[in-house]
Amino acid sequence: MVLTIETNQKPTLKQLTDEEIMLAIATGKIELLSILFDRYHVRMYNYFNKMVCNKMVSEDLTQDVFIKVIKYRTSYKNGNFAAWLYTIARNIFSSHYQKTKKERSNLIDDDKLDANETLVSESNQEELEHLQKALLKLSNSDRELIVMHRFQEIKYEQIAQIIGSTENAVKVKVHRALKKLKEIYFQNNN
Amino acid sequence: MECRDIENKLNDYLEDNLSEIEKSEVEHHLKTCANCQQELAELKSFLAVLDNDTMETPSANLKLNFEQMLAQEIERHNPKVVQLKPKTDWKSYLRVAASILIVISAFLLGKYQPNKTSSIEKNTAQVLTLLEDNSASKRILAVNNAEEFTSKNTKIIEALINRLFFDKNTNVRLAAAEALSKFSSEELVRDALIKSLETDKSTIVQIEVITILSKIQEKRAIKPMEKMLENEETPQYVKQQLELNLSTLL
Repeated sequence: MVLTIETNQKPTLKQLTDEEIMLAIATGKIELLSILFDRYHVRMYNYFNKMVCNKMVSEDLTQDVFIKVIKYRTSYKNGNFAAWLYTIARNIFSSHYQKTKKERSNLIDDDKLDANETLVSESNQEELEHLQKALLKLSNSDRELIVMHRFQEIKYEQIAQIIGSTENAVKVKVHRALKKLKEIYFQNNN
Repeated sequence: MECRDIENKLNDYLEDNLSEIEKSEVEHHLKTCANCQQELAELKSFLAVLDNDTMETPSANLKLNFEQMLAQEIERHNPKVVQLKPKTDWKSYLRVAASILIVISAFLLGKYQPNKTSSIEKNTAQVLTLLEDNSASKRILAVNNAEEFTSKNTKIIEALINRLFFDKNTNVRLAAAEALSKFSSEELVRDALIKSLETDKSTIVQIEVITILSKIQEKRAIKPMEKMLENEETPQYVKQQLELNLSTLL
């Protein structure tokens, strides 16, 4: 299967596909994981950061993804690696979300303030700050779709594979989520 | 086509994901519909905002922590690598040397210790003990075993003669007589057989001894045999045996 996500592969690294490397890891060459880490950790980190809006937590969750890759390496069966990795990331996010549900219900406003602070520090990014606010008002599943489609630039076909849906259904869902987000965004602007 | 349908296609229109037909349909609609024009403009600026959002770079801690974790995992999954490190432990060499020394000294100790009992002597003692056993069958077994010994073993021969004279069981005496016939070159044995012929009351033993004595051509047996022939108490079949064997001796 051809990768639909561009990998930030350096030419000096082994010119192997993610799948070839992952299969080697599954057979015990764990040290090769550092190649996949280099290729994916920024995207994983940004996925979490968009979802939870907390840099520290996002770094921890990214680390968890690669720990899980080692733990479940033998269950990898030659499928699209990126899809498999995002499936792990989604599970980690959802268990993190469940774990922090109680705290969040009390602290949700503080969370948002924290999120704002991090963005306010860069004064020229008012728009993005506003967008982040709007994003946080979306449901997890809508936010996730936008993060994967717009920020991570994952193709519809692959999102369908990750969330277990069809390409057309994903297309419709992404459009609806974007529309919702746009409405929230402009509503608050005015 | 309704505005609603067009609206849903505006995303793909901006991303240039539509077929030529769909594209011209959307463009045709946009020319006439102010609402959808505004919608498109909004969407365009909104997507521009989204596209402005670039990926953040995580702190260096993430990579450091990952490398630490990976190193631990590699060590955990390949413990053999750790074991292959050369050992400079002199104590283990000392242990090996000590165990070799113990084996060698044990071997030498065994080799130079005087043999108290050879295997033949051991067997002799065993047979001699068995010959005195309470069970008749075991005594017979011992007598049969005694045949295996060479004639020089006087202890065994003496024991066998003892059986021939004094054993209460006829079968043991019979077996002893048979066994003694193997040692007939010994004077001691010949004397014993002749004496047995004179003294033994069992006709079976008598017949056996008569046969043995004629076989070994013991001339001294003629006298006692003739005496037996004259004796009226001697049974008829023993007499027949005596006549038969006397002829070979004379």
